[in-house]
Amino acid sequence: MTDILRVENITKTYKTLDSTIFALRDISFGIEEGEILAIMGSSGSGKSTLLHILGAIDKPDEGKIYLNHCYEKNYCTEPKATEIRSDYIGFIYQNFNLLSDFSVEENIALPLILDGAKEKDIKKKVQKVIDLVGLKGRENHRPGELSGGQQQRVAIARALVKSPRILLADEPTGNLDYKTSIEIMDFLAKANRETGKTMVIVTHDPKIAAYANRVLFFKDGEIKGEYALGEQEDKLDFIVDKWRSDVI
Amino acid sequence: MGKSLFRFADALELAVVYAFCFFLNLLFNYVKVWDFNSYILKAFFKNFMDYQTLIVFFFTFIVIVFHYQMLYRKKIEVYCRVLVGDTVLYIAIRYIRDCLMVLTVIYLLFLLIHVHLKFCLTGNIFLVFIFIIYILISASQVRKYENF
Amino acid sequence: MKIFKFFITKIFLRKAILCISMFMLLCLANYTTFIASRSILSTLQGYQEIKCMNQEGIFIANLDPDSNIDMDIIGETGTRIVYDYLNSNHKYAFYTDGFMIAVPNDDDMEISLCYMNEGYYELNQFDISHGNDLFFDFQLDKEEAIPVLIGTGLSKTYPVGSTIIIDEPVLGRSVILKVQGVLKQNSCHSNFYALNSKSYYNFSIFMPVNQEFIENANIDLQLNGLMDLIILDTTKEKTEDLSRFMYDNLGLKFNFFSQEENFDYFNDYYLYSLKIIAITTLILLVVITCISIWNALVSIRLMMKDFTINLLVGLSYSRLRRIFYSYFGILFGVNLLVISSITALNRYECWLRKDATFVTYGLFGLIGMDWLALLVVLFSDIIIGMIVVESMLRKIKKIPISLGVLQ
Repeated sequence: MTDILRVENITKTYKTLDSTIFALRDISFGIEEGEILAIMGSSGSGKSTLLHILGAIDKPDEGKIYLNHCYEKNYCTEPKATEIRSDYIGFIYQNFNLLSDFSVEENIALPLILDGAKEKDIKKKVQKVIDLVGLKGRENHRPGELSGGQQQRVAIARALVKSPRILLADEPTGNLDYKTSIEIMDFLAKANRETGKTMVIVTHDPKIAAYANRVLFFKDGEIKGEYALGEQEDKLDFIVDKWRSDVI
Repeated sequence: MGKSLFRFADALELAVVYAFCFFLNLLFNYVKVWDFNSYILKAFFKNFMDYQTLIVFFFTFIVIVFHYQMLYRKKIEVYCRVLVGDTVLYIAIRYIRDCLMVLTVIYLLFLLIHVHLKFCLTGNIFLVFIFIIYILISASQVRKYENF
Repeated sequence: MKIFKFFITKIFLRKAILCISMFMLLCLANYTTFIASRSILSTLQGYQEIKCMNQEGIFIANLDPDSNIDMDIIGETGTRIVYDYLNSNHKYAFYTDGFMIAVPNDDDMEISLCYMNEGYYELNQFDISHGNDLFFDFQLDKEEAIPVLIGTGLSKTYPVGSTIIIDEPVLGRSVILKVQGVLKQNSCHSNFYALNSKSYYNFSIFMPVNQEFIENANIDLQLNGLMDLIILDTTKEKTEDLSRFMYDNLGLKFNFFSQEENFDYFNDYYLYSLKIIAITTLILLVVITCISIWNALVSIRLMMKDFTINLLVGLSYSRLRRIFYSYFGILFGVNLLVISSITALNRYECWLRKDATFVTYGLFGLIGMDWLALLVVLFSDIIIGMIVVESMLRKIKKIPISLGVLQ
């Protein structure tokens, strides 16, 4: 397995009038192709900031980013950033971020429309992912008419419609109940197994992190621990223990 | 802040928008009484004076934009207020009250200017009616944000 | 194109109030620019016309504003004496118009007769589309046809070489006119004291007048001719003598203004007015642009999430810029269409009213001056569009995608 994405010495600061806040301090790690990487930490530890940098929607103050082993100097700079987001990255957010005036079909088709795809191709691909996420029959519904779980499926479908190589999920189950969360994670895990899609999931829920192949623990903008989740018998207990020791 | 949806910046923005509309009307009234000794200027301004009411009415659309964006921005606040015990009716009444207060202040200011310049005092009345209609229509839209 | 259509129908038009208000603001801006440009262009066009007449040695008459026309004092004798004096002592350019007669034509218009002598004709160099120039050494008897120039509107009914029989209003009898030539389309005459006010010759007949004609004409022609009299190759002293002579015989005070006096008048009067128009228009445009920017920024604030999600899933800033420019291009295009239509309608109303001195021919009902004014409007639209679009993009870029999405 090779690293599809690698970050080195990433630092991100926010300056206020009296002080400088380090959101990320000298972060270095790689993401292997096909793995599910979970990033855990308490609120304000820099998880979401890191995810935004990986997704080329925020720019680090220092550091290097390698995509497919190539150093991308302009990874987070336009117009390269848009290219990367369009060709490599799919996003899933806690609050779904769907367009409320658009139907399910239109929300999912959005990346393809922006790509300039033909009408026929768009219909075909959209129907395929709708079937994949189990939303057949809901194509013409608005997000407001769907449950939380269904809305998140629409968001996942939108993220998957262009078959990106990396899926970035920021607390994808944060707004969902336990049963729905497990359904969503089961689906994502299945997608990872079947298509080999690389996934980076930011979460503070150990049950969600247990789906990952590897976990990174963040505290105060630094990586406090990095663990492979392969051979532990009880992954959940392992994660909780490490959380207590590395984060708390 | 109290119970009002309006912050100082919002009230100021609304005041400026009202002032613009009243000022435009004042400008038209000023040009009406101006003694032109130039045919060209007379002909030029006539192109606007002939459509004074229409132009001023078009301009009042910026007030609609203000109300629209104000309510859109405050939708979460409306919902939160309802959550903690307020009612849509009282929120709407307060909204009307605050808008009318700003309107009254600006209207009186321009009334004074009209008095000082010896213009017709009823020149701005039609604007006041238009703005009151806008306020009532936008207040009725508060109900939309009852259920976020 | 597809993405643009998508944005227009799915994003911009979903908040129609913002689109409508922006459209109205741009309408006001365009209307202001159009009216101002046309006023300025019309005045400058009139000034160019007058410049031909306003040369050294030429003095232009102007009835003193305090003079009262008393027909009991004037009489036909008085005007005849004045014309005899003029013929003996001065070279002059004679012009008067506004005499309306009924002449059968395809458009059912009343025709305006314009009387001018050779001096005036040579001074003005009228453009002829086909035919020959006027000549003035004709005999005013019942048999000989008077050579005339006609406006474009009459040329279909009366081609070059054809004759028209009319009841001449100033001679008081029937005369035969021979069409010598056809004036260029939309030839016009500017009022010297209101340069932006134009009379068009499309349905006019240019009657040549000579000494004999004036002598035989009624007092209406003779008196009106004095109002716009132009004395050629003369001096201030001679015009003062003339003025005194005219006062003694007609009881009317005429002032004669030299080239320099006319230029000073233009600079004090017209230039000042044009400056006021230009400054007023500029101020109005700046104010409307500022309000348009406010409106645009409000739109951004309300649609920030829509834009951000699109940016998140693959829309680039450069494409967004193109979309905005296209959107404003449509708004401006519709605006220009509206203004063109209203202007064309106004011009067409002259046709419906059968107002012969204001009817014009033009492409889609608009004449050259209108098109020039529209060009100025287009130019100002481009500037306003650039300012508003770049402000919108600046606002969008200021908010990081991560924040815009969390909004």
